[in-house]
Amino acid sequence: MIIKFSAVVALLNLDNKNIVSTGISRPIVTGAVLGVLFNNLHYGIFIGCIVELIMINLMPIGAFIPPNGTLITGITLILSNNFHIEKAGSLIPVVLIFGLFWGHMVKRISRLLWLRNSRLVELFLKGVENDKITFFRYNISVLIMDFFIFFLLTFAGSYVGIFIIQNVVRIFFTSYYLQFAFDKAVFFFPLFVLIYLLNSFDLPNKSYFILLGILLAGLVSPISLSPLLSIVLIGLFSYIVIFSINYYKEHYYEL
Amino acid sequence: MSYSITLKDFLIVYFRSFLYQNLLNDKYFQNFGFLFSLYPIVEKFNRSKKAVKIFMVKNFEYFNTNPYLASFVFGVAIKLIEEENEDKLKKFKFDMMSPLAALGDAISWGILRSFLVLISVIFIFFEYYTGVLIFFIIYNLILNVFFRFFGLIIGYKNGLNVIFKIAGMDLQNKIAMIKKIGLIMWGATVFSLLQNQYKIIDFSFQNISINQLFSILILTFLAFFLYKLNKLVIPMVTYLIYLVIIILISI
Repeated sequence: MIIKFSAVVALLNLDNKNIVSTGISRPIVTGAVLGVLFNNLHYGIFIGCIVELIMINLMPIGAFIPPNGTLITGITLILSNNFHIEKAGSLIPVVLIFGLFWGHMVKRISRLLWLRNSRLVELFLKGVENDKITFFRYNISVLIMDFFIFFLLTFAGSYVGIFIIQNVVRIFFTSYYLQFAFDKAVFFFPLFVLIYLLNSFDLPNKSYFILLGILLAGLVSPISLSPLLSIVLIGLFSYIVIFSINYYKEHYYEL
Repeated sequence: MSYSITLKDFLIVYFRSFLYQNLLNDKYFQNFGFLFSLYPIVEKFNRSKKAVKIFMVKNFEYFNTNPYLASFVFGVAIKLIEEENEDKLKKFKFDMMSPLAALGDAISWGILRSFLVLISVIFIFFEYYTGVLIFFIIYNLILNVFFRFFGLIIGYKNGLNVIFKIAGMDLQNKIAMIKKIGLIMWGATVFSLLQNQYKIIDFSFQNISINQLFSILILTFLAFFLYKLNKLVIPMVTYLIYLVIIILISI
Protein backbone atom coordinates (compact mmCIF):
# COMPACT_ATOMS: atom_id res chain seq x y z
CA MET A 1 0.00 0.00 0.00
CA ILE A 2 2.74 2.46 1.00
CA ILE A 3 4.73 1.54 -2.13
CA LYS A 4 1.75 2.29 -4.34
CA PHE A 5 1.03 5.68 -2.78
CA SER A 6 4.73 6.63 -2.64
CA ALA A 7 4.84 6.03 -6.40
CA VAL A 8 1.80 8.28 -6.91
CA VAL A 9 3.39 11.04 -4.77
CA ALA A 10 6.70 10.75 -6.69
CA LEU A 11 4.79 10.96 -9.97
CA LEU A 12 2.84 14.04 -8.85
CA ASN A 13 6.07 15.60 -7.59
CA LEU A 14 7.52 15.57 -11.11
CA ASP A 15 5.08 18.38 -11.88
CA ASN A 16 6.78 20.49 -9.21
CA LYS A 17 9.78 21.37 -11.32
CA ASN A 18 10.55 18.69 -13.90
CA ILE A 19 7.48 18.78 -16.13
CA VAL A 20 4.91 21.44 -17.01
CA SER A 21 4.13 23.00 -13.57
CA THR A 22 0.37 22.64 -13.97
CA GLY A 23 -0.26 23.03 -10.27
CA ILE A 24 -1.16 19.37 -9.81
CA SER A 25 1.81 19.17 -7.43
CA ARG A 26 0.41 21.98 -5.26
CA PRO A 27 -0.69 20.55 -1.89
CA ILE A 28 -4.32 21.54 -2.42
CA VAL A 29 -4.59 19.49 -5.64
CA THR A 30 -2.27 16.68 -4.44
CA GLY A 31 -4.46 16.38 -1.35
CA ALA A 32 -7.57 16.01 -3.50
CA VAL A 33 -5.94 13.43 -5.83
CA LEU A 34 -4.64 11.34 -2.92
CA GLY A 35 -7.96 11.79 -1.12
CA VAL A 36 -9.73 10.20 -4.09
CA LEU A 37 -7.21 7.32 -4.08
CA PHE A 38 -7.59 6.84 -0.33
CA ASN A 39 -11.35 6.94 -0.73
CA ASN A 40 -11.58 9.91 1.64
CA LEU A 41 -11.84 13.07 -0.47
CA HIS A 42 -12.94 15.29 2.43
CA TYR A 43 -9.89 14.50 4.56
CA GLY A 44 -7.47 14.71 1.60
CA ILE A 45 -8.71 18.17 0.65
CA PHE A 46 -8.66 19.32 4.30
CA ILE A 47 -4.98 18.34 4.73
CA GLY A 48 -4.12 19.73 1.28
CA CYS A 49 -5.70 23.06 2.22
CA ILE A 50 -3.84 23.29 5.52
CA VAL A 51 -0.44 22.47 3.95
CA GLU A 52 -1.10 24.84 1.04
CA LEU A 53 -1.84 27.71 3.40
CA ILE A 54 1.17 26.98 5.62
CA MET A 55 3.43 26.98 2.55
CA ILE A 56 1.77 29.79 0.63
CA ASN A 57 4.58 32.30 1.13
CA LEU A 58 7.44 29.95 0.35
CA MET A 59 8.13 30.60 -3.31
CA PRO A 60 10.84 29.19 -5.60
CA ILE A 61 12.37 32.59 -6.33
CA GLY A 62 15.95 32.69 -7.64
CA ALA A 63 18.03 29.95 -6.06
CA PHE A 64 15.69 29.45 -3.08
CA ILE A 65 14.24 25.95 -2.80
CA PRO A 66 11.03 25.83 -0.73
CA PRO A 67 10.11 22.74 1.33
CA ASN A 68 8.46 20.14 -0.84
CA GLY A 69 4.68 20.61 -0.44
CA THR A 70 3.79 17.53 -2.48
CA LEU A 71 5.82 15.28 -0.19
CA ILE A 72 4.47 16.97 2.95
CA THR A 73 0.88 16.35 1.81
CA GLY A 74 1.70 12.85 0.58
CA ILE A 75 3.43 11.69 3.74
CA THR A 76 0.79 13.29 5.97
CA LEU A 77 -1.96 11.45 4.08
CA ILE A 78 -0.08 8.12 3.90
CA LEU A 79 0.53 8.22 7.66
CA SER A 80 -3.05 9.31 8.34
CA ASN A 81 -4.29 6.40 6.27
CA ASN A 82 -1.98 4.01 8.10
CA PHE A 83 -3.16 5.11 11.56
CA HIS A 84 -6.82 5.72 10.49
CA ILE A 85 -6.42 9.24 11.79
CA GLU A 86 -9.58 10.60 10.16
CA LYS A 87 -11.43 8.79 12.95
CA ALA A 88 -9.13 10.20 15.68
CA GLY A 89 -8.59 13.89 14.91
CA SER A 90 -6.23 14.42 17.82
CA LEU A 91 -3.35 12.85 15.88
CA ILE A 92 -3.64 15.14 12.85
CA PRO A 93 -1.24 17.82 14.23
CA VAL A 94 1.38 15.16 15.07
CA VAL A 95 1.27 13.70 11.57
CA LEU A 96 1.32 17.19 10.01
CA ILE A 97 4.36 18.21 12.04
CA PHE A 98 6.19 15.09 10.90
CA GLY A 99 5.19 15.82 7.28
CA LEU A 100 6.53 19.39 7.59
CA PHE A 101 9.76 18.12 9.12
CA TRP A 102 10.24 15.65 6.26
CA GLY A 103 9.46 18.35 3.68
CA HIS A 104 12.27 20.48 5.15
CA MET A 105 14.64 17.48 5.00
CA VAL A 106 13.80 16.93 1.34
CA LYS A 107 14.51 20.60 0.67
CA ARG A 108 18.16 19.97 1.66
CA ILE A 109 18.33 16.95 -0.64
CA SER A 110 16.93 19.00 -3.56
CA ARG A 111 20.05 21.19 -3.34
CA LEU A 112 22.14 18.07 -4.07
CA LEU A 113 19.96 17.39 -7.12
CA TRP A 114 20.88 20.85 -8.42
CA LEU A 115 24.56 19.93 -8.08
CA ARG A 116 23.93 16.68 -9.95
CA ASN A 117 22.20 18.66 -12.71
CA SER A 118 25.24 20.99 -12.95
CA ARG A 119 27.43 17.97 -13.61
CA LEU A 120 25.00 16.61 -16.21
CA VAL A 121 24.77 19.95 -18.02
CA GLU A 122 28.56 20.17 -18.17
CA LEU A 123 28.62 16.67 -19.66
CA PHE A 124 26.02 17.81 -22.18
CA LEU A 125 28.16 20.84 -23.10
CA LYS A 126 31.15 18.56 -23.70
CA GLY A 127 28.90 16.47 -25.93
CA VAL A 128 27.87 19.57 -27.90
CA GLU A 129 31.52 20.45 -28.44
CA ASN A 130 32.01 16.91 -29.81
CA ASP A 131 28.96 17.25 -32.13
CA LYS A 132 26.66 15.14 -29.93
CA ILE A 133 23.47 17.05 -29.08
CA THR A 134 21.48 14.65 -26.91
CA PHE A 135 18.77 16.67 -25.13
CA PHE A 136 16.29 13.85 -24.73
CA ARG A 137 18.78 11.44 -23.21
CA TYR A 138 19.52 13.88 -20.39
CA ASN A 139 15.91 14.93 -19.94
CA ILE A 140 14.59 11.39 -19.69
CA SER A 141 17.40 10.17 -17.42
CA VAL A 142 16.76 13.10 -15.03
CA LEU A 143 13.01 12.38 -15.03
CA ILE A 144 13.61 8.71 -14.18
CA MET A 145 16.23 9.50 -11.54
CA ASP A 146 14.04 12.16 -9.89
CA PHE A 147 11.06 9.83 -9.87
CA PHE A 148 13.03 7.13 -8.04
CA ILE A 149 14.70 9.57 -5.64
CA PHE A 150 11.36 11.07 -4.59
CA PHE A 151 9.75 7.66 -4.48
CA LEU A 152 12.46 6.50 -2.05
CA LEU A 153 12.18 9.71 -0.01
CA THR A 154 8.41 9.31 0.35
CA PHE A 155 8.74 5.62 1.11
CA ALA A 156 11.48 6.20 3.71
CA GLY A 157 9.55 9.14 5.19
CA SER A 158 6.45 7.01 5.60
CA TYR A 159 8.31 4.24 7.43
CA VAL A 160 10.27 6.64 9.66
CA GLY A 161 6.98 8.45 10.35
CA ILE A 162 5.21 5.24 11.34
CA PHE A 163 8.01 4.40 13.76
CA ILE A 164 8.14 7.89 15.30
CA ILE A 165 4.38 8.37 15.58
CA GLN A 166 3.88 4.95 17.16
CA ASN A 167 6.32 5.97 19.89
CA VAL A 168 4.84 9.47 20.25
CA VAL A 169 1.40 7.92 20.75
CA ARG A 170 2.77 5.41 23.25
CA ILE A 171 4.61 8.04 25.30
CA PHE A 172 2.51 11.21 25.10
CA PHE A 173 -1.02 10.29 24.09
CA THR A 174 -1.99 8.47 27.23
CA SER A 175 -3.36 11.67 28.74
CA TYR A 176 -7.03 12.39 28.05
CA TYR A 177 -6.46 16.13 28.35
CA LEU A 178 -3.75 16.14 25.72
CA GLN A 179 -5.99 14.28 23.28
CA PHE A 180 -8.80 16.72 24.02
CA ALA A 181 -6.44 19.67 23.42
CA PHE A 182 -5.25 18.29 20.10
CA ASP A 183 -8.85 17.71 19.04
CA LYS A 184 -9.55 21.38 19.74
CA ALA A 185 -6.42 22.39 17.84
CA VAL A 186 -7.71 20.68 14.70
CA PHE A 187 -10.98 22.57 15.04
CA PHE A 188 -9.16 25.92 14.86
CA PHE A 189 -6.68 24.96 12.11
CA PRO A 190 -8.49 26.59 9.17
CA LEU A 191 -8.80 29.90 11.01
CA PHE A 192 -5.14 29.99 12.02
CA VAL A 193 -3.58 28.96 8.73
CA LEU A 194 -5.56 31.68 6.93
CA ILE A 195 -3.19 34.18 8.59
CA TYR A 196 -0.36 32.94 6.37
CA LEU A 197 -2.26 34.32 3.38
CA LEU A 198 -1.93 37.87 4.71
CA ASN A 199 1.76 37.97 3.78
CA SER A 200 0.82 37.52 0.12
CA PHE A 201 -1.52 40.50 0.07
CA ASP A 202 1.06 42.90 1.37
CA LEU A 203 -0.13 46.50 1.17
CA PRO A 204 0.86 49.48 3.34
CA ASN A 205 -2.66 50.01 4.71
CA LYS A 206 -3.95 46.47 4.68
CA SER A 207 -5.84 46.57 7.99
CA TYR A 208 -8.37 49.02 6.45
CA PHE A 209 -9.19 46.57 3.68
CA ILE A 210 -9.54 43.68 6.15
CA LEU A 211 -11.85 45.76 8.33
CA LEU A 212 -13.85 46.75 5.24
CA GLY A 213 -14.26 43.05 4.42
CA ILE A 214 -15.40 42.24 7.95
CA LEU A 215 -17.80 45.20 7.89
CA LEU A 216 -19.27 44.18 4.52
CA ALA A 217 -19.69 40.56 5.66
CA GLY A 218 -21.38 41.80 8.85
CA LEU A 219 -23.76 44.00 6.89
CA VAL A 220 -24.63 41.29 4.39
CA SER A 221 -24.97 38.41 6.88
CA PRO A 222 -28.59 39.05 8.09
CA ILE A 223 -29.91 38.96 4.52
CA SER A 224 -27.51 36.50 2.86
CA LEU A 225 -28.72 33.16 1.51
CA SER A 226 -25.39 31.40 2.06
CA PRO A 227 -22.01 32.55 3.46
CA LEU A 228 -20.19 31.43 0.31
CA LEU A 229 -22.49 33.44 -1.93
CA SER A 230 -22.07 36.55 0.21
CA ILE A 231 -18.24 36.30 0.11
CA VAL A 232 -18.25 35.87 -3.68
CA LEU A 233 -20.64 38.84 -4.03
CA ILE A 234 -18.44 40.94 -1.72
CA GLY A 235 -15.47 40.05 -3.94
CA LEU A 236 -17.36 41.06 -7.09
CA PHE A 237 -18.64 44.23 -5.47
CA SER A 238 -15.15 45.24 -4.31
CA TYR A 239 -13.80 44.50 -7.80
CA ILE A 240 -16.37 46.81 -9.38
CA VAL A 241 -15.73 49.59 -6.84
CA ILE A 242 -11.91 49.39 -7.06
CA PHE A 243 -12.03 49.15 -10.85
CA SER A 244 -14.33 52.21 -11.03
CA ILE A 245 -12.05 54.22 -8.71
CA ASN A 246 -9.00 53.30 -10.80
CA TYR A 247 -10.86 54.17 -14.01
CA TYR A 248 -11.97 57.51 -12.56
CA LYS A 249 -8.41 58.31 -11.41
CA GLU A 250 -7.00 57.41 -14.80
CA HIS A 251 -9.49 59.33 -16.95
CA TYR A 252 -10.99 62.19 -14.95
CA TYR A 253 -8.76 62.87 -11.96
CA GLU A 254 -6.46 65.26 -13.82
CA LEU A 255 -9.43 67.23 -15.15
CA MET B 1 14.66 28.04 -50.27
CA SER B 2 13.12 30.32 -47.64
CA TYR B 3 11.81 29.15 -44.29
CA SER B 4 9.04 30.68 -42.25
CA ILE B 5 7.61 30.11 -38.78
CA THR B 6 4.32 28.19 -38.66
CA LEU B 7 1.87 27.37 -35.91
CA LYS B 8 3.43 23.91 -35.75
CA ASP B 9 6.78 25.48 -34.77
CA PHE B 10 5.11 27.44 -31.98
CA LEU B 11 3.41 24.29 -30.73
CA ILE B 12 6.70 22.37 -30.77
CA VAL B 13 8.44 25.11 -28.74
CA TYR B 14 5.40 25.31 -26.41
CA PHE B 15 5.39 21.59 -25.66
CA ARG B 16 9.16 21.44 -25.31
CA SER B 17 8.98 24.34 -22.84
CA PHE B 18 7.13 21.96 -20.49
CA LEU B 19 10.53 20.47 -19.68
CA TYR B 20 12.03 23.93 -19.23
CA GLN B 21 13.09 23.43 -15.61
CA ASN B 22 13.95 19.75 -15.76
CA LEU B 23 17.72 20.24 -15.49
CA LEU B 24 17.61 23.31 -13.23
CA ASN B 25 21.12 23.69 -11.83
CA ASP B 26 23.43 25.93 -9.84
CA LYS B 27 25.67 27.04 -12.67
CA TYR B 28 23.48 27.76 -15.70
CA PHE B 29 20.04 27.64 -14.00
CA GLN B 30 17.41 27.28 -16.75
CA ASN B 31 19.71 27.57 -19.76
CA PHE B 32 19.48 23.88 -20.66
CA GLY B 33 15.69 24.19 -20.83
CA PHE B 34 15.97 27.40 -22.85
CA LEU B 35 18.17 25.75 -25.50
CA PHE B 36 16.10 22.56 -25.43
CA SER B 37 12.90 24.53 -26.18
CA LEU B 38 14.46 26.52 -29.02
CA TYR B 39 16.48 23.70 -30.57
CA PRO B 40 14.01 22.81 -33.39
CA ILE B 41 13.91 26.47 -34.49
CA VAL B 42 17.70 26.75 -34.39
CA GLU B 43 17.97 23.55 -36.42
CA LYS B 44 15.44 24.84 -38.94
CA PHE B 45 17.22 28.12 -39.65
CA ASN B 46 20.87 27.14 -39.12
CA ARG B 47 21.01 24.43 -41.68
CA SER B 48 24.61 23.34 -41.26
CA LYS B 49 25.57 21.24 -38.26
CA LYS B 50 28.50 23.53 -37.55
CA ALA B 51 26.23 26.61 -37.36
CA VAL B 52 23.95 24.85 -34.87
CA LYS B 53 26.96 23.89 -32.77
CA ILE B 54 28.27 27.48 -32.78
CA PHE B 55 24.82 28.77 -31.73
CA MET B 56 24.62 26.25 -28.89
CA VAL B 57 28.08 26.94 -27.52
CA LYS B 58 27.65 30.72 -27.86
CA ASN B 59 24.35 30.69 -25.98
CA PHE B 60 25.44 28.31 -23.25
CA GLU B 61 25.41 30.76 -20.37
CA TYR B 62 23.57 31.73 -17.20
CA PHE B 63 19.84 32.22 -17.78
CA ASN B 64 17.25 32.38 -15.05
CA THR B 65 13.79 33.89 -15.16
CA ASN B 66 10.19 33.02 -14.32
CA PRO B 67 9.24 29.75 -16.08
CA TYR B 68 5.89 31.08 -17.28
CA LEU B 69 7.01 34.47 -18.55
CA ALA B 70 10.10 32.95 -20.20
CA SER B 71 7.81 32.37 -23.18
CA PHE B 72 8.09 36.06 -24.08
CA VAL B 73 11.86 35.58 -24.41
CA PHE B 74 11.28 32.41 -26.48
CA GLY B 75 9.01 34.37 -28.84
CA VAL B 76 11.57 37.15 -29.32
CA ALA B 77 14.35 34.57 -29.72
CA ILE B 78 12.38 32.85 -32.51
CA LYS B 79 11.96 36.21 -34.23
CA LEU B 80 15.68 37.02 -33.93
CA ILE B 81 16.70 33.57 -35.20
CA GLU B 82 14.30 33.97 -38.12
CA GLU B 83 15.79 37.38 -38.97
CA GLU B 84 19.29 35.90 -38.63
CA ASN B 85 19.91 38.56 -35.98
CA GLU B 86 21.26 36.17 -33.37
CA ASP B 87 23.89 38.56 -32.05
CA LYS B 88 21.17 40.62 -30.38
CA LEU B 89 19.73 37.56 -28.63
CA LYS B 90 22.51 37.34 -26.06
CA LYS B 91 22.07 40.96 -24.93
CA PHE B 92 18.27 40.73 -25.02
CA LYS B 93 18.32 37.63 -22.81
CA PHE B 94 20.49 39.37 -20.23
CA ASP B 95 18.40 42.54 -20.29
CA MET B 96 15.06 40.78 -20.01
CA MET B 97 15.61 37.94 -17.57
CA SER B 98 15.69 39.99 -14.35
CA PRO B 99 12.63 42.23 -15.03
CA LEU B 100 10.64 39.23 -16.28
CA ALA B 101 11.68 37.20 -13.24
CA ALA B 102 10.63 39.97 -10.85
CA LEU B 103 7.30 40.54 -12.60
CA GLY B 104 6.61 36.86 -13.24
CA ASP B 105 7.39 35.75 -9.70
CA ALA B 106 5.19 38.52 -8.31
CA ILE B 107 2.33 37.45 -10.60
CA SER B 108 2.57 33.67 -10.59
CA TRP B 109 3.90 32.74 -7.15
CA GLY B 110 3.08 35.92 -5.31
CA ILE B 111 -0.40 37.08 -6.12
CA LEU B 112 -2.17 34.77 -8.56
CA ARG B 113 -1.52 31.58 -6.63
CA SER B 114 -2.42 33.22 -3.32
CA PHE B 115 -5.64 34.70 -4.69
CA LEU B 116 -6.69 31.41 -6.29
CA VAL B 117 -5.87 29.55 -3.08
CA LEU B 118 -7.98 32.06 -1.14
CA ILE B 119 -10.94 31.51 -3.49
CA SER B 120 -10.62 27.72 -3.44
CA VAL B 121 -10.14 27.69 0.33
CA ILE B 122 -13.34 29.74 0.74
CA PHE B 123 -15.19 27.13 -1.33
CA ILE B 124 -13.59 24.22 0.53
CA PHE B 125 -14.15 25.63 4.04
CA PHE B 126 -17.84 25.88 3.20
CA GLU B 127 -17.71 22.28 1.90
CA TYR B 128 -17.86 22.91 -1.85
CA TYR B 129 -15.02 20.74 -3.17
CA THR B 130 -15.24 22.30 -6.63
CA GLY B 131 -12.81 24.84 -5.13
CA VAL B 132 -9.93 22.52 -6.06
CA LEU B 133 -11.09 22.38 -9.68
CA ILE B 134 -11.48 26.17 -9.77
CA PHE B 135 -7.88 26.54 -8.56
CA PHE B 136 -6.55 24.00 -11.07
CA ILE B 137 -8.44 25.29 -14.12
CA ILE B 138 -7.88 29.05 -13.62
CA TYR B 139 -4.22 28.51 -12.63
CA ASN B 140 -3.57 26.66 -15.89
CA LEU B 141 -5.66 28.96 -18.07
CA ILE B 142 -3.73 32.02 -16.94
CA LEU B 143 -0.23 30.64 -16.54
CA ASN B 144 0.05 27.70 -18.91
CA VAL B 145 -2.27 28.87 -21.66
CA PHE B 146 -2.15 32.67 -21.58
CA PHE B 147 1.40 33.42 -20.45
CA ARG B 148 3.08 30.30 -21.81
CA PHE B 149 1.42 29.99 -25.20
CA PHE B 150 0.23 33.50 -26.03
CA GLY B 151 3.44 34.91 -24.49
CA LEU B 152 5.30 33.02 -27.19
CA ILE B 153 3.17 34.56 -29.93
CA ILE B 154 3.20 38.07 -28.38
CA GLY B 155 7.00 37.86 -28.10
CA TYR B 156 7.31 36.75 -31.73
CA LYS B 157 4.95 39.43 -33.07
CA ASN B 158 6.51 42.32 -31.15
CA GLY B 159 10.14 41.29 -31.38
CA LEU B 160 12.49 43.48 -29.36
CA ASN B 161 9.59 45.84 -28.55
CA VAL B 162 7.92 43.18 -26.40
CA ILE B 163 8.91 45.08 -23.27
CA PHE B 164 6.57 47.95 -24.27
CA LYS B 165 3.80 45.43 -24.88
CA ILE B 166 4.32 43.92 -21.39
CA ALA B 167 4.44 47.42 -19.86
CA GLY B 168 1.18 48.21 -21.69
CA MET B 169 -0.52 45.28 -19.96
CA ASP B 170 -0.40 47.37 -16.75
CA LEU B 171 0.32 44.30 -14.63
CA GLN B 172 1.54 46.23 -11.57
CA ASN B 173 -1.80 48.01 -11.16
CA LYS B 174 -3.66 44.74 -11.66
CA ILE B 175 -1.55 43.11 -8.93
CA ALA B 176 -2.39 45.96 -6.52
CA MET B 177 -6.09 45.61 -7.37
CA ILE B 178 -6.07 41.84 -6.76
CA LYS B 179 -4.30 42.43 -3.43
CA LYS B 180 -7.04 44.85 -2.30
CA ILE B 181 -9.85 42.49 -3.36
CA GLY B 182 -8.00 39.60 -1.68
CA LEU B 183 -7.75 41.47 1.61
CA ILE B 184 -11.44 42.42 1.55
CA MET B 185 -12.43 38.83 0.80
CA TRP B 186 -10.05 37.60 3.52
CA GLY B 187 -11.82 39.78 6.09
CA ALA B 188 -15.22 38.58 4.89
CA THR B 189 -14.07 34.94 5.01
CA VAL B 190 -12.79 35.18 8.58
CA PHE B 191 -16.05 36.81 9.68
CA SER B 192 -18.14 34.16 7.91
CA LEU B 193 -16.04 31.32 9.34
CA LEU B 194 -16.42 32.69 12.86
CA GLN B 195 -20.13 33.12 12.34
CA ASN B 196 -21.09 29.98 10.44
CA GLN B 197 -18.49 27.27 11.02
CA TYR B 198 -17.40 28.14 14.55
CA LYS B 199 -20.74 29.65 15.61
CA ILE B 200 -18.82 32.26 17.59
CA ILE B 201 -20.30 35.45 16.24
CA ASP B 202 -24.03 35.54 16.75
CA PHE B 203 -25.53 38.54 15.05
CA SER B 204 -28.13 38.94 17.77
CA PHE B 205 -25.37 38.79 20.42
CA GLN B 206 -27.63 36.70 22.66
CA ASN B 207 -25.87 33.36 22.67
CA ILE B 208 -22.31 34.53 23.03
CA SER B 209 -20.63 33.57 26.27
CA ILE B 210 -17.91 35.57 28.05
CA ASN B 211 -15.53 32.59 27.93
CA GLN B 212 -15.88 32.20 24.18
CA LEU B 213 -15.46 35.91 23.60
CA PHE B 214 -12.39 36.04 25.84
CA SER B 215 -10.71 33.04 24.13
CA ILE B 216 -11.37 34.51 20.72
CA LEU B 217 -9.95 37.89 21.73
CA ILE B 218 -6.79 36.22 23.04
CA LEU B 219 -6.55 34.02 19.95
CA THR B 220 -6.94 36.99 17.61
CA PHE B 221 -4.36 39.02 19.49
CA LEU B 222 -1.89 36.12 19.51
CA ALA B 223 -2.57 35.34 15.87
CA PHE B 224 -1.58 38.87 14.82
CA PHE B 225 1.44 38.79 17.11
CA LEU B 226 2.55 35.49 15.56
CA TYR B 227 1.85 36.83 12.10
CA LYS B 228 4.37 39.61 12.79
CA LEU B 229 6.76 37.04 14.29
CA ASN B 230 6.32 34.86 11.22
CA LYS B 231 8.73 37.01 9.26
CA LEU B 232 11.49 36.34 11.79
CA VAL B 233 11.22 32.61 12.43
CA ILE B 234 10.80 29.70 10.03
CA PRO B 235 7.18 28.66 9.45
CA MET B 236 7.60 25.31 11.17
CA VAL B 237 8.58 26.99 14.44
CA THR B 238 5.64 29.39 14.12
CA TYR B 239 3.44 26.40 13.49
CA LEU B 240 4.67 24.72 16.68
CA ILE B 241 4.07 27.93 18.65
CA TYR B 242 0.51 28.08 17.25
CA LEU B 243 -0.08 24.54 18.39
CA VAL B 244 1.26 25.08 21.89
CA ILE B 245 -0.95 28.17 22.30
CA ILE B 246 -4.04 26.35 21.07
CA ILE B 247 -3.30 23.46 23.44
CA LEU B 248 -2.84 25.81 26.38
CA ILE B 249 -6.05 27.65 25.62
CA SER B 250 -8.02 24.46 25.06
CA ILE B 251 -6.93 22.90 28.34
